[in-house]
Amino acid sequence: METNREKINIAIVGGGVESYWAALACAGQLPQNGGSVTLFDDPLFASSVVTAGDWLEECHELLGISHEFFLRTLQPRVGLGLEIATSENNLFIPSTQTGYTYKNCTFSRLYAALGKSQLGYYLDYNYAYLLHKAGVESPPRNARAAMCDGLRVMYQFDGQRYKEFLAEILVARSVNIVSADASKVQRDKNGAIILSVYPELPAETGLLIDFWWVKNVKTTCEKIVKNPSRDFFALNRLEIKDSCTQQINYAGPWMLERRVIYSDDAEPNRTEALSFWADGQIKMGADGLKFRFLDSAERVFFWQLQSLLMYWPEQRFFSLVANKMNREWCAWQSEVNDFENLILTAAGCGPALSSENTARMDLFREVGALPEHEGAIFENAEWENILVAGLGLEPGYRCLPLDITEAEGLAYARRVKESCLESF
Amino acid sequence: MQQHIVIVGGGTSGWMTAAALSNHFKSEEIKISLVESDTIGTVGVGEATIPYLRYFNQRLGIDERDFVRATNATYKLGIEFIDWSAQASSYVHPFGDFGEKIGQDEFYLYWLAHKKNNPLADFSKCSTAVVAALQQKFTYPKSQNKDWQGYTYAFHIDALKYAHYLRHYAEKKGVLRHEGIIESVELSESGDISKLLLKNGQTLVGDIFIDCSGFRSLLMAGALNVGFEDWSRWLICDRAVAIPSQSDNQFKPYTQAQAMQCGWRWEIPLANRTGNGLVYSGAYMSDENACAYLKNKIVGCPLAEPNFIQFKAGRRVQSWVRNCVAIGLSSGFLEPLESTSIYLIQLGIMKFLELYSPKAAGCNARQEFNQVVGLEYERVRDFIIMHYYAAQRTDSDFWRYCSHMELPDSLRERLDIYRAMGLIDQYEIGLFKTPSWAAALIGQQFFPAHLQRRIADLDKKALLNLVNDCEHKISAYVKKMPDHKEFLSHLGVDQEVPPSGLNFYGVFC
Repeated sequence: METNREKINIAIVGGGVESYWAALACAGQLPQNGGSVTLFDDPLFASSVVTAGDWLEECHELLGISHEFFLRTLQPRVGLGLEIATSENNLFIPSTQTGYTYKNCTFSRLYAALGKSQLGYYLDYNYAYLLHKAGVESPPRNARAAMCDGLRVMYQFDGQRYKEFLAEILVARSVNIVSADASKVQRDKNGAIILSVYPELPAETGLLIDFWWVKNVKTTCEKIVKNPSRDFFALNRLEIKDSCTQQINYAGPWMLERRVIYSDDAEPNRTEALSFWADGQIKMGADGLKFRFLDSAERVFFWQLQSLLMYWPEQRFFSLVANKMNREWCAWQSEVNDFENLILTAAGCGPALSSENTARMDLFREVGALPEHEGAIFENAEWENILVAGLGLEPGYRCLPLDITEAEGLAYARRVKESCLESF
Repeated sequence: MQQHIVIVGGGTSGWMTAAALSNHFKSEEIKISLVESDTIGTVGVGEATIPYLRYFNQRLGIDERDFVRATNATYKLGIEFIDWSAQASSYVHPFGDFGEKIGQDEFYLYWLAHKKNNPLADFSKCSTAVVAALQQKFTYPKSQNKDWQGYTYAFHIDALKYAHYLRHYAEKKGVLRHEGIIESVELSESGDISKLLLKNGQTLVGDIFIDCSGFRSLLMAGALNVGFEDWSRWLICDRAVAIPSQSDNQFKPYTQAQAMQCGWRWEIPLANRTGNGLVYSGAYMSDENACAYLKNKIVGCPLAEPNFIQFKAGRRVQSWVRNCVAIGLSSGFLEPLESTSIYLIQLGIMKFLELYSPKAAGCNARQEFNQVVGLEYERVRDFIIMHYYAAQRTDSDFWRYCSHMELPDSLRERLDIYRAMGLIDQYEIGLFKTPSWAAALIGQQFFPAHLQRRIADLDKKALLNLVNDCEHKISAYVKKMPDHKEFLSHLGVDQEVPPSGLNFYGVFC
């Protein structure tokens, strides 16, 4: 086996939290004999609110950041899920799984077997939902009911302060932070945007990781289809999309988890990115995501970050892993868009369902199960919460396992609910 | 309304299905029948098993020690592969992990970096299961022990006895057995299977039919004409010959798979006899030569005449079509190099139980079932093909073909990435995870050309300490383990209860 000693200079373009994460990750991976990481921060980018699930602790560990220190410094608010306010009703979608597995039987299966007529509303067995219903706004971290698998919380915190927090660590780890000159964003004669920040990159830059999140911009998809490996990732031609509505209307940064959606905001035809790794460059971030409910965008960043670290893109390996990365990242993007479209559908303003979402809903209605697929970003419990709480679906009937009698199942379900209620 | 599920075929697959279904459904909801004939022999797949069989038995509430006695079982910690590389060598693919994960990274990556500086480093010393297996030791992994052990176990069993055992279990739970040979299968106007007509004049009407008829695939291929995806361009062995022999009383706690000029030979030590067999390609070796070769290799006296089996690697393009589900050999065949036959039966059963509802039409469930089963077959297939390819043997036409064949895209991508940078892709769905691939690739001396810089640049001394520490811990642990033979002799006497909830890699879950 040989060891390649090539230097690697990495440029990261973008000013979001995810760019800061990537810079930290890259800094930790630089070879002992040299290389550099430069973060070109976009001053126009105002990172408002960051939402992150429990996985944030793991993310911090990966980046060598003390999660406890983060909690003390940023003092994030703790949310229980997503509340959707529409003109007709208010829906609450908890981030904690409903019930708990009993004798190898998942709670959703138990519910599917015993039915709504016997058990009542599905979410009455959800710890987070019950807390929310009881008006508990800030549950303690690691809150737990005896019969549930803990409480999965959503952290929310100020993105700008978080960037400052990360910047201090970056500087300590010898990462250069450069303010990118956004004035060099120009339009050509056809009105398409030309981003010319890149000439400032060091000439020997070996890898470009781009996070530039251009709001309300639609990529020229046709071009990508014709020539998927070129042009797009240089980000030199982007086309302004006609409608310029804000995607998510935050009703104030600290209105915990309450995001008001209006149907006008939906962008059902937004294009998804077709590839992320090409020509020695990597496009990370949320460009392909339609919306950013719960922690979907941040979660994708974290997943992207993990695979970036795992398949560390030394130039010699780039083309080898690009196909695999593109396949996986595209699948994540589609899954997140599916997830968010279901939330929109729940809010009454959803676009047409994708074939995956149709299959998902049909299987759930039919036998109370969900499709298994490789590299799933969201867990079954999260899909179930949306299908049941958001869309009002009932899991289709399945038999109760023989080792659980009906009376036992009912008693167990009752204990789950009681245990949740007793905990607060 | 009560539904009627009819299982076609006994044998391992039929009776595993019957037992699992009878344990899962209430009899007032589902009636279960099984039709088989004593005049039709069974292939009796799966003498060598993998740890998931323990989970299957536990789900059925079967006492493990009772099962071990009833099936003449011995314990199994892995499979020893002999001569699966250009240089004469052997390695064990264990039921367990190698070392402990370091952050996000699997231990094998660090070991590869260590080997760069220590060419004589021995990967097998970093696995409890391998060290114990080669010293012929065995005990249950301790669920209370905080020290890392990282292993689990399976069994060598008499598959026919297992089928009998499960038949007894299923019949006690109300499964109706019908003795008879199927003469014809009748379809309804919709194209579903409506009834089976037996030669003895009996008619079996059902709502769901489960095809456990083996290679013949009586319902799936015969009645419903479902196609077969042929994988024989990658897995060119198409025959096997099996001869049981007297036990050598060694009771090795592992299966042996020795590569030979045109295939490979298995040896499976049961409590009362040894299972022997040869898997080979008819294009490269005649039946007579195969039989003679096998006889020459058998240690104990043969206990039966040679049993020849013909097969073709591949799978049904769909395993659940209309109201018919194929389980076992009727669904697909992969040679038993990694002891996966019973596992694939089990997968079909478990997935069916998860997705079947007596109150639903099932079209979405079918689609999901086919997708999951298909993916699992493909991934097991890739793992088996890898053994032939990575051996890089060139000492016969058979091996030259294997080492130069064009691989399936999924496997080619996997091996290209491994070869270039040492990384083994991790997947969630699929039996064989990274430690299994590492065991086989490193065991077959199929090393990467480079390592990622972040791994290659790790401190030599730290790596040495890491590996040494792992080896010492394992060595000390195995030293205290009893001999496998001794363990078997005390079966059920003052012995602790087998642990539950262990996955393939010895992780309690």
